[in-house]
Amino acid sequence: MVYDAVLLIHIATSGNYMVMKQARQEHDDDLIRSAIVDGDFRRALEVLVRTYQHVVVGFCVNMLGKTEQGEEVAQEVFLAAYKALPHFRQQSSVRTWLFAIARKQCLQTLRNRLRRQRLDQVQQDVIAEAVHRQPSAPLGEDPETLFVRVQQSLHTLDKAERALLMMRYDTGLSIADIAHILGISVASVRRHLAQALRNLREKMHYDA
Amino acid sequence: MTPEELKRQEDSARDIIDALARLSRHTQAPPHFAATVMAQAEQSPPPHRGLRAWFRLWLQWPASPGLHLATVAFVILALCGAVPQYTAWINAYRLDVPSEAIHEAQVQERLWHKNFACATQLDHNSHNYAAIAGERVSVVVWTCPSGDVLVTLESPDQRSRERYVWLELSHHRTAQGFLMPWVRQAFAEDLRPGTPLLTAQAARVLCQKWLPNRMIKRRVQLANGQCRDEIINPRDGTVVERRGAPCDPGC
Repeated sequence: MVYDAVLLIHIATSGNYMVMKQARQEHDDDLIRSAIVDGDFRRALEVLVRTYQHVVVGFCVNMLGKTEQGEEVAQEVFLAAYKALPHFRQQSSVRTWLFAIARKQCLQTLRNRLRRQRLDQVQQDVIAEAVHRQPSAPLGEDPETLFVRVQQSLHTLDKAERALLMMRYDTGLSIADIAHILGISVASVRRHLAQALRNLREKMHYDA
Repeated sequence: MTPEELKRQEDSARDIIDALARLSRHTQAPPHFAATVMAQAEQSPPPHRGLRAWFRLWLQWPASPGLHLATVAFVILALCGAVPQYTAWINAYRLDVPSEAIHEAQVQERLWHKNFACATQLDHNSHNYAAIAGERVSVVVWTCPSGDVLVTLESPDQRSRERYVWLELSHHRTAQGFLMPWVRQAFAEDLRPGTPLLTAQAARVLCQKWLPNRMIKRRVQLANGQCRDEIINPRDGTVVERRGAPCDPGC
């Protein structure tokens, strides 16, 4: 209760949405950690789902390009996280740990899917759904058009590059967090990010 | 790649990055999502914290880098501080003695090396030799030019020589000069007042050599003329083996 009071005062004085969001997330992360230490894994899962369901669903849907499949995989992500709760070593933030699981699940799903279908057919399906999900935008360089093009081109990228760009710019994970998830150096993450951005720009220019 | 180089790339693709940042905002979890996940979790067996996970939980590195550094420093300090103990254990294993007896074992072995030639010359006819016998123990003393003294403790019937002990002394003294005050004091219960020195505790070393297993082989001629080989552990002075031998200096 004391913590919630401090949180409310901070929100009232700062009036900053991002600060509020981050403070709330840190509070929930603390709840998750203490539930894990106490061995109350069900409570930890409840808070985990409540805090991260939208961002995980968004990540999975955009990784896989299909809403229904993305939602299913997001469920699998939380179930996998539930099983892994006793082994959460708290060396990283809850967010980093969860997105490591989400990335792994999404990449595995994509690998399984590619085994069953031809790549170009997969890309066509994904692009078609991406277009269907977004309202058609007029030609030109307005933000909505750009958004659609980015979304379409994103799904033509290598899945690892796609995951990297989404983790950094959509989910907002830090470069250090991504390095921890991938098990590579920070400099390597920067290099891969720069390459992924270049590839995405090339795809967009090619598609245009 | 440096942070500045990445920033330049990002600045040139700022519009694309802004679009990427909006990806998930258009997507929300369906209303039933949380309930579905909890229902599925309910159907699966609850996660179990095994022994390894418990162990890891209580040994987790602290999250703060400062505490992490302090913990690492502390562990390194503790490990380094225990090096003398590790050395003691290794030496105890190597010398085959209890860890608390390592120092004495090393001293005894060193004195055997130092006075090896002198010990080979042990002869009851020498003025460096003296013996005294009590009810339960006989003490034989052999002094060396270095000042060190080899004390042999043996059972009175000479059927078993029990122990060789080197004493490291600063200057040479005669066997009798050493034996009378010191030994009588040390073995006061076994040596009645007035017990004479015995020269008939005859013993003569015919030959002596180091064995490959760091033991000493010694051939001794006794008062009755018989000879015997003794295998001595120089670290604790015990005679680990004795057997009859011909009376020739062929160790």
